[in-house]
Amino acid sequence: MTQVDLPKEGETVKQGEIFGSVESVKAVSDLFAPLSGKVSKVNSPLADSPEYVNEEPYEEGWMIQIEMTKPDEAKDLMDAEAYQEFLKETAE
Amino acid sequence: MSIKLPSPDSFSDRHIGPDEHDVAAMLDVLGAPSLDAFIDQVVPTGIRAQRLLSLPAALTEHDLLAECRRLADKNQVFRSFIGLGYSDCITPPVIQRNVLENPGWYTQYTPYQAEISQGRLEALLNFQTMIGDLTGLPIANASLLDEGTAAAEAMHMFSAVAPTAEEPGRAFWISSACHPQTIEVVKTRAEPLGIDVIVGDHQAIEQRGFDRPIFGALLQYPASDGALYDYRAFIERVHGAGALVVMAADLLALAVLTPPGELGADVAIGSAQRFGVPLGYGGPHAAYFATRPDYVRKLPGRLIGVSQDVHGHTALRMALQTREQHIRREKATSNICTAQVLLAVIAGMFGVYHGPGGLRKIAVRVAGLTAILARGLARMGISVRHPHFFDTIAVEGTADQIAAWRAGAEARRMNLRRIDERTIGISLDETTSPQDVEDIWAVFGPTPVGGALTVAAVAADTDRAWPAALDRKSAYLSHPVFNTHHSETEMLRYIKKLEARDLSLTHSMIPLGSCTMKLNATAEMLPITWTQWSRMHPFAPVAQAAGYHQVFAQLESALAEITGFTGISLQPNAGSQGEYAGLLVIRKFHQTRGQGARDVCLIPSSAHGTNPASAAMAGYRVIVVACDDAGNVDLADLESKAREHRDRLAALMITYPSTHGVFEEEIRRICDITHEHGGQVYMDGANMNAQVGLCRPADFGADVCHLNLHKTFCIPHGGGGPGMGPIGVAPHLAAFLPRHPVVETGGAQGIGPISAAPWGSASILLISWAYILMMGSDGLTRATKIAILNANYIARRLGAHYPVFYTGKRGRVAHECILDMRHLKKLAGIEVEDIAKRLMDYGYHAPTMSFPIPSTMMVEPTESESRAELDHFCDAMIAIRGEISAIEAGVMSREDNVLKNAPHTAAAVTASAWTHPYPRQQAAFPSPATREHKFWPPVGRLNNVLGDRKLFCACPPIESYQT
Repeated sequence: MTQVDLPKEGETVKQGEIFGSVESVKAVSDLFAPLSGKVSKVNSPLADSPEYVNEEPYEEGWMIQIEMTKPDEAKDLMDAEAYQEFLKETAE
Repeated sequence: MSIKLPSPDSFSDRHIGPDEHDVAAMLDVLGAPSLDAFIDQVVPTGIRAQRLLSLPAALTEHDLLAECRRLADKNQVFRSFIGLGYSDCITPPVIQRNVLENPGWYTQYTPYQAEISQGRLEALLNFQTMIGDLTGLPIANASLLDEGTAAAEAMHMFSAVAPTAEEPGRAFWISSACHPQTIEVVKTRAEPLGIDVIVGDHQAIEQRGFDRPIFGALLQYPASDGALYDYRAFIERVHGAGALVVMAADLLALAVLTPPGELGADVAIGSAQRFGVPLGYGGPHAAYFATRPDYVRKLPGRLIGVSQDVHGHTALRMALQTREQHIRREKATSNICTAQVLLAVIAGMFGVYHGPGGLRKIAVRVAGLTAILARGLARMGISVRHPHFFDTIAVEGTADQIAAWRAGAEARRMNLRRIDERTIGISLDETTSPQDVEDIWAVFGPTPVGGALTVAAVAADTDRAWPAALDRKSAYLSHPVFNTHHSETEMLRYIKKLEARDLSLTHSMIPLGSCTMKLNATAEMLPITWTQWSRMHPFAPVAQAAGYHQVFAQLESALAEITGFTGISLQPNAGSQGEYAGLLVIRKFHQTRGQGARDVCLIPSSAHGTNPASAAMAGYRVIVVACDDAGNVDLADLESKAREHRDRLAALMITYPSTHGVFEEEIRRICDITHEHGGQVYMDGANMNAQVGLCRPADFGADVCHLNLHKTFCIPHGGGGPGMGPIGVAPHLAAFLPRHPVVETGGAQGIGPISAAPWGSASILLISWAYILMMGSDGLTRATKIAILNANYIARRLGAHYPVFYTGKRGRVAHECILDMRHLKKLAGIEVEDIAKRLMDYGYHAPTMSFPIPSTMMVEPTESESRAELDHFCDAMIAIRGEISAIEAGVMSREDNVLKNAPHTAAAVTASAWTHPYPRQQAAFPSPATREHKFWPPVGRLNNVLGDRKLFCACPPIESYQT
């Protein structure tokens, strides 16, 4: 990661819509909001240390905190384990 | 017995690599009975041209140069004091011979493979540093196409980053004191984006403020008529209104005047032409763009940055490429791809050679002569409009006086600028002598009582003409590189040292797919530095440039014959510009038929990044059309999307043969579907090297195409420019070809100018003109056939080692082939990049990486490479595949191997410590060819991530080179 573009505190996000982007040397990828709500916190150190996304995605590499407006949306999401399974299946 | 004379040397035999014997052998390998039978297997019969190209008989090089001399003699090189953004200058001979006229500098491609491009990367970094220093705005890019488009790029950037950018309805304000062509180029670019442009007087704004909200403002410094204004107060007004300021600034003036950054400007742009680059009747010239660090991620164009290689040594690379069209596509900061690198290199070398002291001397001298000129005119009772100026004055008179003065100037073979019927402009430059000033005085009337005016006498009575408030106090060009190479010997060695760090066509084949790195013949290149071609001012009266206009007419006629399009515009100075111009022509066409609502552009997913980027700039909505498994446009998807958007369909952009290197059989159907739904077909001409003489875009249904003259038509790549991208249009579009405010050109209802100069980079058109004249129709057609043969030969030799991705109906590729390397990651942990870096150890530049498909290489040899060179390249690729097999088999380590550690530098291979599990010889001399001649990559593999995370875009302190 060379750059992480995040929204500002207080902005609204909608499930499935683009809320930011990440960049490497060769590519730019959009980030899609998993849930709808208000951005209550942004991990500003990521601006100077985008490498946290690579090195500690579940710790220092957190991006935004969302105050959910539709908590039911969380039901359809995968957790980390389910996602690993999903990746395995896709690879085969 | 009658004597038979052997035919004289044939140029096409010098341009085309394989001889008859090679061709026969390659056809044998491919199992084709003859060259023509082979071509029948490649190019669909339905679109084949039914007759040979009708072009003048081929000339020998000797005769071509004689003809070129004859035409050059039709240009009359007056002393031009026109200014308007173009100033004659002196190209230091050491730079002319060793950079501008040296294939070791002009045959390189854009520096994507940084490890073998350190020479031009350093030269560009010097340019960036020089621009940053002179403008007082530290982030400068590695060149844009011209001052006009650079101003438009600033407007585009402001529309994204200005504090009030989000507010709809804000306009862009332009000072009426800007050069007319700049104003018109910006207007042309603003209109499709729905941006309103206001042209006004900055002094009125200073007093009364803006009567409309704006997001940006453009100023000229000094003004087009020479006036020197202190813009500080105006800039504060603009900032107060929530908008940003771009200043078009004369680089030489900045050697003595307060720079834009210190006046408060947010962006500075302009031309770097007067730093040693010939006028060339309009180009090619590098433009510069400089801004504050805050805006670096929105910067258009290439940016060179400092990083390190794997050994921790300072190494240069192109930074933040994620801004650019090849990654961001329609969301790119600009559609620019090819820029003006060679000319930026020359301008940077001008700065290195003259240093801050030399630049200041030139500036003071030019300004001094101008002040003396003005003082003398004043003594003659002539009214000079402005009290403060740098190199340009505006002289006022009655209509009769103006007419008489202009006639007098012309009689003395001098060109003055006509500002309006009551005003003449006079611009001096580095080549102006005291005699020139005295000759100008003689135009304006008899000598006053008391004796003839002499420069020496008037000088005694003349004050400096720039005001104290604008006198530059800050230093510039203090880096050692600008203060070290001032003797010619030093400069020569510095130029040669950098040249040696670049791999170019003087070393080996550069098989970049879709770049067409063919021969740039010396006979084509020689004329561009002849005085009669190089010292013509683009706004000199057209009658003085009869030689140029004959070349334009002949070239247009040839391009019309080659493409089938009778309407030609030579104005676009890059392929991206050709795309943009062509799309605007289509847009105007729809508007004039009451169909201005058409705003959808269909673009295949395989298209080059400039296509969607240009479409977005033309105000189009980009809808992507899928490609099928064979890499061709998915007809079903095209039909469905064309139908869905039929009321709004403006255009389809197609590359032919496709970016996958295949002659799609269904091209006519693709064009028909587009037309049926109301759209026009734009053909990207990047792959014309597979068409010339065999088929023509107009014949299979395209309405407009651009040609990359720096690909198919031999203009050298220059390390990333210059280029030329003329467009050809069908008769129903000819009326809309781009016009120009200063010179009459283009269609009756033409779109506004898309380049600052009316015929783009006119002087390098000579190269393509010469190529076509020396090849003739037989030569050009044969070149196309051999280009296709060469690509198929490579595909055949390498197909067993790297699967060839796409082939046409009969298993043939066009002029390039795609090698599939995706499986190598799983088999041996090898990425395409590893192969590209290992090729450097073999002395080769890699083919195009991961375009149009990730993890592949696209190989385009061109017709200029001999069979021997094709074999050397194939041998290297096959040897590398062998190295990969050794990794697969576990014989070589997966992590510590010749590919992962490539490229191997001389320093690494001769170090006392060698810890790798393979011998040094295998690293550095992997082939017999390398043992005979070795190109040493000057740095190891670049640390790209570090370069983008810790951005540094100017010359680093000298100590960092010594680690």
